[in-house]
Amino acid sequence: MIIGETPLPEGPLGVDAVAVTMKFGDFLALDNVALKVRPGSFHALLGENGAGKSTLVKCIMGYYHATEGDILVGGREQAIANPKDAHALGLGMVYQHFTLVPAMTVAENLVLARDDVPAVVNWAREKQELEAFLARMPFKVPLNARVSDISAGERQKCEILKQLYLKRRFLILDEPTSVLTPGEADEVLGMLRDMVVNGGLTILMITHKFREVMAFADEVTILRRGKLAGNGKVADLTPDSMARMMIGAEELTVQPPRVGQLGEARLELSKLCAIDDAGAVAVHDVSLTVRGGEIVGIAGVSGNGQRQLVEVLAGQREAESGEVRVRGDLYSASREEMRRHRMSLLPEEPLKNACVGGMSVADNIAFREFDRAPFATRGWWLNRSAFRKDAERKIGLYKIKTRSPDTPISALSGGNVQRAVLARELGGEVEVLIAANPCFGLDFAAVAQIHAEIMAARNRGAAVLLVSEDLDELLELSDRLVVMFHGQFVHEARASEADLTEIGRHMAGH
Amino acid sequence: MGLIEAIILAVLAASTPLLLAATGELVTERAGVLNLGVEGMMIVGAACGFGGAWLSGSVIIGALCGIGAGVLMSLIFALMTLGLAVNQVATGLALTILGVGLSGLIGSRFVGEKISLAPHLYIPGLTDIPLVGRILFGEDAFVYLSLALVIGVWFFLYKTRTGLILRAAGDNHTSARALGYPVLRIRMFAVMFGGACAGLAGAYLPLAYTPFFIPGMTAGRGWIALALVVFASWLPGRLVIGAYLFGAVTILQLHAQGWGVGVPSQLMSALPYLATIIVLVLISRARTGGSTAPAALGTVFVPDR
Repeated sequence: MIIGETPLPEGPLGVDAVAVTMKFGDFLALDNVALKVRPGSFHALLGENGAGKSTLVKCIMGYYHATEGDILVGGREQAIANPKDAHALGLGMVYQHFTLVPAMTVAENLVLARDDVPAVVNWAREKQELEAFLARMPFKVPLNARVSDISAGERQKCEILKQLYLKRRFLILDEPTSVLTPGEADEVLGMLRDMVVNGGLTILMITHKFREVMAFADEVTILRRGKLAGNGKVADLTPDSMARMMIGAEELTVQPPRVGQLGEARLELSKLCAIDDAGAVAVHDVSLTVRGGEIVGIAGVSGNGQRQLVEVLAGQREAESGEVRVRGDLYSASREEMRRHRMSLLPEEPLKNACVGGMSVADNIAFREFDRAPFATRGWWLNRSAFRKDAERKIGLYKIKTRSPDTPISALSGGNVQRAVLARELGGEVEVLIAANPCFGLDFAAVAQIHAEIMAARNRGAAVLLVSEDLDELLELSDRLVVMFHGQFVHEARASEADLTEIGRHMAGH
Repeated sequence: MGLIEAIILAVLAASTPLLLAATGELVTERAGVLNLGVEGMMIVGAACGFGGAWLSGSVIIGALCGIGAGVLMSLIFALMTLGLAVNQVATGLALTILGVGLSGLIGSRFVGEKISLAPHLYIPGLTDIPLVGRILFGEDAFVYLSLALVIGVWFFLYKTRTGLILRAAGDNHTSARALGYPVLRIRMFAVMFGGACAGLAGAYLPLAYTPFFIPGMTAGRGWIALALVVFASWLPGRLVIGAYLFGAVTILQLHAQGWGVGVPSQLMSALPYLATIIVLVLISRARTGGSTAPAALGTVFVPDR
């Protein structure tokens, strides 16, 4: 701090971003954006993926330096050269992914974050001080527990406590509830809300969940494609008006209505068990039947065995015991069986699990049928022009934005990779569809299109197993809902009669 | 001197190089770096240690030469894996191959020469106590140093701020970086410490174990030290138990050969290595839930800015 300068005001800090423009080469990430977070308020920053929310907060935290525009802290212009400067001003950030060291205890993590710890740590004294600090805080966390042993909700509380322990007065939360159950999310945000109301703290929360904005935020700023799309008091807005500002004039695919009859059992899992990479039981005695013309949703907090379950069905992981039957036949996830039973798969992280990144869009679209006529003669002589023709047709049909069918698929955006996989998997007839977090990280237009395709497949009589961490998505699409916790199915409900708090409780294992 | 006493003395001597090298590697791995070049750093340490002692006539200068050689070798590794972000496994293997060749080159002029071994402690009265006197108060300085080193490393890892940061760098380098700690610098010092320990462990062999240098005299001890770190679940305390256990296997098979046990001597000589494999298998079987290895072990860290 410059000598003679008056110190920043006590209490909660306000932060303003004035006419911030950020360019990465030719790409305009932020275009003349303004953000005004009043001291002592709970402010939400809404926007789709790629709207520039992260870029804006990284400018505030000093990770990036805005090409043009200023950042004001406590009403005063500040040159924030790096995160350390931001920390010194009292700005702190809680990241979407945990930054705690899992193998260490909570106390060790908190002490590690401080930069004024003596060379030889007096653990008895540090723990005493931590206990005293925790006594003043609304959250409780077990100080001596290893971070790897505590739940996601407790970890998120630790991250927030760490910021408060470091005496930060302005907190930026980046999608803080993405790994929490609805109950945990409400608890954490409620406590933060109380701290804001009681003075001493300002919060800027990045989110895309309207429910959280409506319930906890005072004011909201909405970004769309790097531009300010709107702002105002939450009390004056509705989820609909906010969604319109987020999406803009773009037309969304309309989801077909739920029609059709329930058919015979298509996909049957009985007493299926699987272990994870570390050798621990991940899927335990899971039994489920999915019939034609229904969507069965599997809900659960990430890391409760859903990934391993999908990997078994996709043939990426071997089951330890139990069996899977498709249309009555024992199923071992071979390519031949998938083709015979018209089984389709939309795995999560499609670029990693469903594509070969370095190969072209056309090749990736052809993977299901590439050794059959008309793509190949006698199963080995490939007909490249047939690849191209089919790809061009599907690129138009599924609105895949790619420079050409020969572009490597890894060069496409996430939404367009998923559209290409959709074109491959749903392009023909489908009798069984398995989808895992199919819309993770995609924009509204892609989500609407994918939801419409899944519903259409169901209406045509396909049996759909939808694994998702997004409860709203599950409630919207599913006919039946199953909750997975610690590798087991612990709860089942009809989606139309599902009770959100009940489901949240089961997701948390209560 | 009774047979038991002789065996225990021999076990301690055989265990010390393992303990020294493994302690260094433990610190390196705790910082998140897997340096498979321990064997290479040891053998160069042995050649330079012997050379230093033979030319100067001083065991201490020999030991310092060994340490210096180990550090220089580890700096090659640090430059490759930390500076240029090359794969750690490949670099470590290359370092061992380089070390074996280099030690032959350095040591060729010393082959056949002989030095006097490091003196053993002698405290009148205490060392003369029957049975335990020689074992507790009659060792060479390296034996005491290795134990002091383990205690020092334990204190460093769990009681000091720098130790806390080093463990953080090994478990989650992105977090450590986000907190503002210089991950690469921490790792470089950890690698150098590992090199110093391996160099000293190598130098121990010609300075205190057998008074001459022969090419390849480390005979795979570097690899056993690597296995020991896994055996110890990256905990310094268990390292002592592991090192003495392996030392015991090495010595006992020698005695067993002497007693004429009806097993081919080649198989007996392979026992320590066989034990290494068995221990690694048992540990991986036993550790089904949550591994204790540093989570970032062996991963390359490239700071984004």
